[in-house]
Amino acid sequence: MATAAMGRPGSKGDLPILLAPVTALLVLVFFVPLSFVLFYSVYDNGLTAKAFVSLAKSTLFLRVLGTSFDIALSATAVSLLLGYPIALHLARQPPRRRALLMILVLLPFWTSILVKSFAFYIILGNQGIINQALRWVFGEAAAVKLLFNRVGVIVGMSHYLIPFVVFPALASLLAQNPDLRRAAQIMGAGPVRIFLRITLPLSMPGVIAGGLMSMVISLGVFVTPTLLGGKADMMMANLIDFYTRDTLDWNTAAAIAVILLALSGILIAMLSWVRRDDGVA
Amino acid sequence: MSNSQGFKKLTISRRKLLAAGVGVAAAGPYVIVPGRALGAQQIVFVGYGGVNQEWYEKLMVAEFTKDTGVKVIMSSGPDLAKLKAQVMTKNVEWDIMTMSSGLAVGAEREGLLEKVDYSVVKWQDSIQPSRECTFPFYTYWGGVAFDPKRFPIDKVPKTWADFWDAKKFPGRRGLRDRADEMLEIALMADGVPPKKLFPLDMDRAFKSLDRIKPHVAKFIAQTPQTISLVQTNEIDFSYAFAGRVDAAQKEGISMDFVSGQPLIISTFIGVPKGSKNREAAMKLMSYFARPDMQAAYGNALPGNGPIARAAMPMLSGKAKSMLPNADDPQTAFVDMDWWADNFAEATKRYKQWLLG
Repeated sequence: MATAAMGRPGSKGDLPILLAPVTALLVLVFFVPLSFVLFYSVYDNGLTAKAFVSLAKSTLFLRVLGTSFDIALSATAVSLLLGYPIALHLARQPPRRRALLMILVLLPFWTSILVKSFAFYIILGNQGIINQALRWVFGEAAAVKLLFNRVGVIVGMSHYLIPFVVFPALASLLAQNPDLRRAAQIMGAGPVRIFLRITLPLSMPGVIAGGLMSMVISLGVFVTPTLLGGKADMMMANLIDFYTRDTLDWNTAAAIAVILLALSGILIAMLSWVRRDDGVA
Repeated sequence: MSNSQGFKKLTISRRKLLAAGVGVAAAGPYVIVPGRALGAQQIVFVGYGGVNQEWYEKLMVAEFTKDTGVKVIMSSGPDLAKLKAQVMTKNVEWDIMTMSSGLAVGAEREGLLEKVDYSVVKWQDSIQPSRECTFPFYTYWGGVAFDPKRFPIDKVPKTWADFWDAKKFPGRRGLRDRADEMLEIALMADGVPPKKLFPLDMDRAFKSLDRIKPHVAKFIAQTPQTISLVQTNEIDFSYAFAGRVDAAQKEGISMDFVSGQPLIISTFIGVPKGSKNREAAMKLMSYFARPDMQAAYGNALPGNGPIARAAMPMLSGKAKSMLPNADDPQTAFVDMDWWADNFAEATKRYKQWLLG
C-alpha cells in the first residue's frame, strides 16, 4: 500500500501529512509517558543514579534478571523447535490449504491469556487430562508435576509464542527459489542433505527474526509465570510491578523498566539488522 | 502476554468514564439546589469489589445516602500507585477508599490520606486501635482450608506448628507469595506465642520458613486460588481466610476451615488527600465505624467480624461461631505499626527468599 502511494507523482510530499496523526498519537501516548519513566529512573529529589547503583548490587534484581533470561531463552528455544516444523509443513501446502492452516496457527491469539492459563490447569494439573491418562495407563505413581514449576511456564509461554516464530520462518521458506532444491536433487542430493544444506540455511534469517521477536516478548511477560509458575519463576515485569505498587519506589521501578527497555532495544536492533539483510520481511 | 493488566485497567477506566459521565449528567439538576450541608451531591467510593462491596452498598452506603441525600458512586480497584498518582497530580477522583492493611500502611506513611475527623467519626472501644488517617472497620482471619472429603479432621494441621510438621500431617501446602501474614505464622510455627509476635524477629521467621518451603506446592498470588487450588486437588492444606471458605461452602464446594491459632487481619478505610468532597467522605466514613453497621455486615458475611466491641452482642449465632475470640491467648493480630516501618524490607527479603 505504501509503495503504491509513493508511486503516484507528488505523493512524496503527502507522506508527512499522512504520518502526522499516528506520529501525534505516538508522541502523546508513548513518548511522553516513556520520557516520564526515563526521568523517574534518574530522579529522586534531584538527579541521581542511585537506583541503578543499588540495582547493580541487589541480589533480588540480579536473580530476577537471570531468571527472566533463563525463561525467555528456554521458551524461545521450545517455540523454535515446535514452530519450525509447522512452518516447514505450511510452506509445502498449496496456497488455499496453507491459508486455512495459518488461521489455525493464529488461534491462540483469539483467547485471553488469563482464560488460557486457567485452561492449562485443566490440562497440566494434578487432576488434569495428562496426569489422569498417565495414572490410568501406568498406575497411581505415574503422575508428573507439570504445573507451578518451570515446565508449566514454558508450556504456557510457547503456546503464545509459536505464531511469532512460525510466520517469519514461513516467510523465509516461501521466499526460497524452488529451483535450488530441484538443482540439488538433480545433482543427487537426498532430502536430508537438501534440508541441511539449502532449506535450513536459507531460512535462518526468518528463524533468527522469529527467535529475537519471541525473546523480546518473553522478557516482558508476567501473567503466565505468576499463574503457571512456581516460586522461583519471577520475571522483570513482576519486579517492576512490585516496586511500583507495593513499595511505591518509582525510582527503582523506573530504573528496572529502563534496563528492560534497553535489553529489548538491543534485541530489536538485532532484529532489524537481520531483517535488512534478509530482504524478505 | 502482559496484556491482562491492560484488561484490568480498561475495566477501571470504563468505570471511571461512567462515573464521570454520571457526574456530568447529575450535576445539571443539582446546581440550583442551594448548598447542601455537606457541600457535595455525590462522592466516589472505591473498594475491592465482589460480595464485600455489595454489602457496603446495601448497608453503610445506603444508610448514608438515605440520611444525607448524597449519592455514592461505587467503583473498584484501590491501588497505592494510582492513589499516589492522583494525589501527586492533584487530580483526586476517589473520595473514600477501603484498603488492605498493607495499602493503608503505605498510604498513611506516604501522606496520601486526609486526617480522620474524629469529631464526625464516633470511634468506640474496639478490638483494634484507630489511626490518625485511617481506621479498621472489619476483621477477617487466616487459618487452614482443606477438603473434608480427602482429609478427616484428625489428619488436618490445626496449629501453625502442625502446619509446619509435614511428617505428622503429610500433604501439599499452599502459602502466600508475600511477606505479610506469612512471617507471623512462621513465627507461631516456631513456637512464638501469638500475643508476643511483634516486633517480628525476621531472621527467625525466615529460618522457620526454610523448613516449610520444600512442602509448599504453590506460593499463591491471587486470594481466590487459596480455595480453588484445594478444590482442584493441586494442594491439600492452604493458608486461607474463613470468609472465603464460608462462601465456597455456600456454593456447594466441599471445603472446610480450621484454625487453632487464628491470625486476625483488618480492612481499613480512609479519605485520599485532596478529596474534593472531604466532608461528605468523612460523614460516610462515620457509618463504617458504627457498631450496628459492622454487626449487620458480620451477619451478612460470616467469617468477617466487627471491630467495635459494642457490635459483638448484635451478632447472630452463626456469625459468632465463625469468629475467633480476640482475647484468646492463641489469637494473633497483625500489628500495623511494625509493618508500617518494615513492609518494604520484609517484602523484598521474602521475594528474594522465594527465588533462592
